[in-house]
Amino acid sequence: MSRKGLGEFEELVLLAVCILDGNAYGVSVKEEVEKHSGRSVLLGAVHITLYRLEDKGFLSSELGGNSAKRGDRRKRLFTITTLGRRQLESSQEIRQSMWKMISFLKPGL
Amino acid sequence: MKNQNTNPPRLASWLLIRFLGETQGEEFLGDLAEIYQDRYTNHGALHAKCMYWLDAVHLILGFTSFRRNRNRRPTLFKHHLLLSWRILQRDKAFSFINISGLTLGMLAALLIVFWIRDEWSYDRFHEKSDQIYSVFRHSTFTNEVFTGNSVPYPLVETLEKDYPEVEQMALIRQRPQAILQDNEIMGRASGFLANSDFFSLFSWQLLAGEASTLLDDPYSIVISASQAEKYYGPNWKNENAAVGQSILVDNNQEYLITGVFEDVPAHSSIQFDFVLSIKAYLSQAQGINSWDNSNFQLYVQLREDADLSRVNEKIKLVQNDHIDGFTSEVFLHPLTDLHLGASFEQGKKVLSGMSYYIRIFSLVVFFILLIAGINFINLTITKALDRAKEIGIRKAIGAGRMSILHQFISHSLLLVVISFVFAIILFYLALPLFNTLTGKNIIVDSIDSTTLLAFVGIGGLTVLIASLYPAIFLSSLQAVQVLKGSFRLSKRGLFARKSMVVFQFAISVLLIVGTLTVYKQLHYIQSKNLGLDRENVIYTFLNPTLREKLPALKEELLRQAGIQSVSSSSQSPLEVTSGTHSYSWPGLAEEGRKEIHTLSIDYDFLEVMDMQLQQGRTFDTAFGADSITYLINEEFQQYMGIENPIGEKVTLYGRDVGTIIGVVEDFHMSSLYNEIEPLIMLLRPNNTFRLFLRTEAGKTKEAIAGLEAVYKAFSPDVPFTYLFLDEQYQATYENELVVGRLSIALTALAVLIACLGLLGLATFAAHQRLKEISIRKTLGADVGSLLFLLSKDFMVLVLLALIIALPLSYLLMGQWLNSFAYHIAIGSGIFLTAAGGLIGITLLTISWETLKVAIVNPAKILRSE
Repeated sequence: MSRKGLGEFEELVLLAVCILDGNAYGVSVKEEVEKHSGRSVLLGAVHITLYRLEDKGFLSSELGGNSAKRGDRRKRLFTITTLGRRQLESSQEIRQSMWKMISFLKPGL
Repeated sequence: MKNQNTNPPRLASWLLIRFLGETQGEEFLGDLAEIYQDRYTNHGALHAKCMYWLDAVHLILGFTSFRRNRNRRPTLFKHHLLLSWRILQRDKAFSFINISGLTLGMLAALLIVFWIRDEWSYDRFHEKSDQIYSVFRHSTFTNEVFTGNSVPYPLVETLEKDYPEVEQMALIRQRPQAILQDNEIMGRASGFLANSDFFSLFSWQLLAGEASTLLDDPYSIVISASQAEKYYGPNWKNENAAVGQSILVDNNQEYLITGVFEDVPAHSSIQFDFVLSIKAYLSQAQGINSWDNSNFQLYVQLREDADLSRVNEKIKLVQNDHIDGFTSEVFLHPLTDLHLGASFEQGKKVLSGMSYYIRIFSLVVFFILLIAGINFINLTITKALDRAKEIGIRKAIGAGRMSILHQFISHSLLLVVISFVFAIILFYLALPLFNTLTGKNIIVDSIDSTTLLAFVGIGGLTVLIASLYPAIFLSSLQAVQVLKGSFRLSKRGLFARKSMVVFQFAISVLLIVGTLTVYKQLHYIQSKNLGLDRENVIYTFLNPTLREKLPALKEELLRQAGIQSVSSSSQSPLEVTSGTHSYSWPGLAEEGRKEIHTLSIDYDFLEVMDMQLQQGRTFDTAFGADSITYLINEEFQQYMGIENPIGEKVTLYGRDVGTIIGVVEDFHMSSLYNEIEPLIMLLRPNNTFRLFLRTEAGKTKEAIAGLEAVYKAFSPDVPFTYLFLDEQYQATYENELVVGRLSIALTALAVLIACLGLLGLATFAAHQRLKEISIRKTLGADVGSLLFLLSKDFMVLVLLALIIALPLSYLLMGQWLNSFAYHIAIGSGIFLTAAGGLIGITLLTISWETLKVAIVNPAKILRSE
C-alpha cells in the first residue's frame, strides 16, 4: 500500500473528527474546524473532505441520529479508523522530528 | 406568510436531491437545515436563503465532480463545452451578433415580465386576499348602465342578517381631503371613515395601538406612520407620543389617535393616510337607512367554503326590491381583480386599458425573443457549411444522431446561458431607467419562486426557439454527401430562412407603425384644441371660510401682479363627473333620455378658461342674479334639438326653473376616450370648490406668490396648495404616456436585433461571393453597381415584409385608435416614415459589410487561384 499524504485541511478535519469522538458529522465538524482555525469554512468543503478521507480509508461512517432540527433527517456520523489514527500519528512524528532539527527553535536556548 | 419564510428554499433542496440521490441528499439537507435555522435567527431570512443556495450549489458541484473521478461519464460534456468555446472564439463577429441579439431579447423579456408581475401583484399582500370581495352594482337608468362600487347602507344589515357566508365586512364612507392639525403642525391628508372590521379584514400592518379596539370610539382616528412622524417626530413609537394624543380634524373636531399603521403599500387599490371611526357619522347622518342613497363602499370576506356564484345569485336583486326609478344588480367583485379587471361598459365586463396593454406587450416581447431566436437559427444554419465537414466526419466515425443533436443543443445552451448572464446584469443596470420610464418602483431584491420561474421560463423559451431547429437540421445531414463535397443548403431551407427574415422585418414594421401611431395620437391629445385654454391656469381649493368671502377674495386676487382673471367652479372643467337625470323642458321626449352633466360656476368662468360663446351672453353681474339662468354647451343644444335655445326654460331637480342665456362652444369635459356630452352650467358661487386663476404668460411665479399671500390672509388656518390645470390634464393620460415610452424602447430593441441578424447574413453573403465580386471588379464593375448587386436580395425581402405588415398594422392600429372617441387618422405619412426608415436602416446595415467587400483589392483575393 502506497503511503497517502494528508493535506492541511484534511488534517484539520481528521483532528476535528477525533475531538468530536463519535459525534462527528458535517455541521459539527465544520463548527469545530471553524472554532480552532478561526476561519469560516463552507459546508460543502467539509463534506467533500470527509468523503475523500473515507475513500482513502482514514474514516468510516454510518447513518443515524436524526433530530427535529434537521427535519427528521439522518446524519452521517464519521469515526476514525486505525489507519487514520496511524496516519495522524505518523504525520505528527514527521513534524516533530523536523522541528527538532531546527536549531533556533530548540527549547532552552 | 411568516411560516413560508422560515422554510429553506425548496428548489435548492430539490436540485440537491435530484443531483446527488436520496441518501446523500438526506444527510446534506439535514446539515443544511440545521445551519439554516441558526443563520435565520442570527442574520435574517435573506442571508440564510442566499447561503443555503450557495451551500447547495457548492455541494452539488463538489460532489458531481468528486464522483466524476470515479466513473468518467461527463467527459463528453466537457468536450462539447470545449468545442463550443472554440467555435465561439473562432468567429467572434458571429458570436457577438448571436449573443448580443439574445441578450437584448431576453432583457426586453425580463423587463416586461417584471412589469407585468408588478401590475398583477396589486392587493395580493392581504392575507385573506382571495376571500375578499368588493361589493359592486350595475345600476340601469332608462338605457344606460353604470357600474360602480357604491352601495346603500341597509345592505350591511341585510348581509349581516341573511348571509351566513359573509365572515366580516369593512364599511367605508369616502370624505374629502382633511386638514389635520396638532398645535403648530398642520397639513392635508386623505382618508375615509371605516368600521372596526376594516383593520381585521384587510392586512394593514399595525405599528402601534390595540388592534381589537382601534375604531371603537366614535371619535377615534388611526394614522399612517409617515403622518405620525410628521406630527410627532421620529420617536412617535414611544408610549403616548402618538397613540393617545388627540388631533384636530378640519378645524372642528378632536379625534383620539388609537393606532398607527405602516404606510399603505403602493400596490394597494385602497390608498389612505388616515382612517376615522364611522360610528359618529352613522349616528348623525340623515337618510342613510334609505335604499336609495348609495354612499358607501363595502368589502366583504366570504367564508372559505362559500360558493361565490351562489352568493352572487342570491345577492343580485337585494337592492332592487326596495327601489324604483332605476334597476340595480348587486354582485361581488374579487379584490385581487380590482386593479386590472374592474372595467365595465354597459353592464358588461370589458378588458381594462392596463390589461389590454399587458397583453399587447407580452405578445411584443414574445416576438422580440422570436426575432432574436431567428437570428440565431439563420446564422447557425448559414454557418453550417463550415461545420458540415465536422459533422460528416463525426458521423463517419460512428457518432449517432442523438449525440450530434446533444452537441448542438449544448452549444445553443451555452450561448443562451452566456446571453442570459449578460441580460440579467443589464436588467439590474436598466431597472432604475425602466422605473423612471414607467413611473413604477420595481425592486427585485430577493430571489423568490416567481422570479426564478420568470428567469427559467424566459431562458427555456429562448433555448427552445433558438436551438431546436438548427440542431435537428444539422444532425440530419448525410455523412457521405457532406464528405463527398456535394452538400448544398437545399432550396426549401433557403426559402424557410428567407421567410424568417421577412417575418422579422414584418414584425419590425408592425412595431414601428404602432409606435408612430401611439406617438401621433399622444401628440394629438396634447395639442388638441379642447375648447378651453388649459395653459397658464392654476387652481386651489376653496374651504368654507374662503367661499363665504368669495367676492372680496376675487377682488383682492385681481389686485395681485400676474393674475388676469379669477373664477371658481364645482369641478374641474376637464373632469366633469356630476350629472343628473332629473331635468325637463317643454317638449322633451322621454324616448332616448340620457344623463346630462352639471357644473356650478361663478362669474368670469368663461374668461378664465378662455371658452368661446357661440350664442347669447354669459353670466354677468350687470344683469344681476335675481332669476335663475343657465349656460349650455352645443351638445346640449343638439340634444334639445332647437336652433335658437336662448330664452328657453329648463327645469332642473324638479324645482329650479331657469332660462338659457347662452350657448358655449363644446369643450372636452372628460378624457378624449369619451364623447362630449350635454352639459348645463349653473351660476352658483356657493356651490363651488375650486378656485381657478388665469395668470399672465410668464408671470406664473408672481401670480402664485400673490395667491399664497391672499390665501393666507383670508384663511390662515388652512395649509396652502396649488395645482396647474395642464398638469392635471397630462396626468389623465399617464397610462398612454407610459405605453408610448415603452413601445419606443421595445421597437428600438426589435429593430436593433433584426438589423444585427441582417448584418450577420449580409456579412456571410458578401464573404461567400468574394471571388465573384473580385472578378466583376477586374472586369470593370464599379462600387455602386456592386453594392446594388449585394443589397438587391435583401431589399426584396424587406419590401416583401413591408407589403405584408403595412396593411396588417393599419388594421391593428385602427382598432386601438377607435378606443378613443377623438383620434387621428392613420395617414400615409406614418406608413411612408416606417417604410422609409426601415429601408434606410436596412441599406445602412447591409452596406456596412458590403462596402468593405466592394472596395477590397481584387488582386488579393484572386492571387491564390
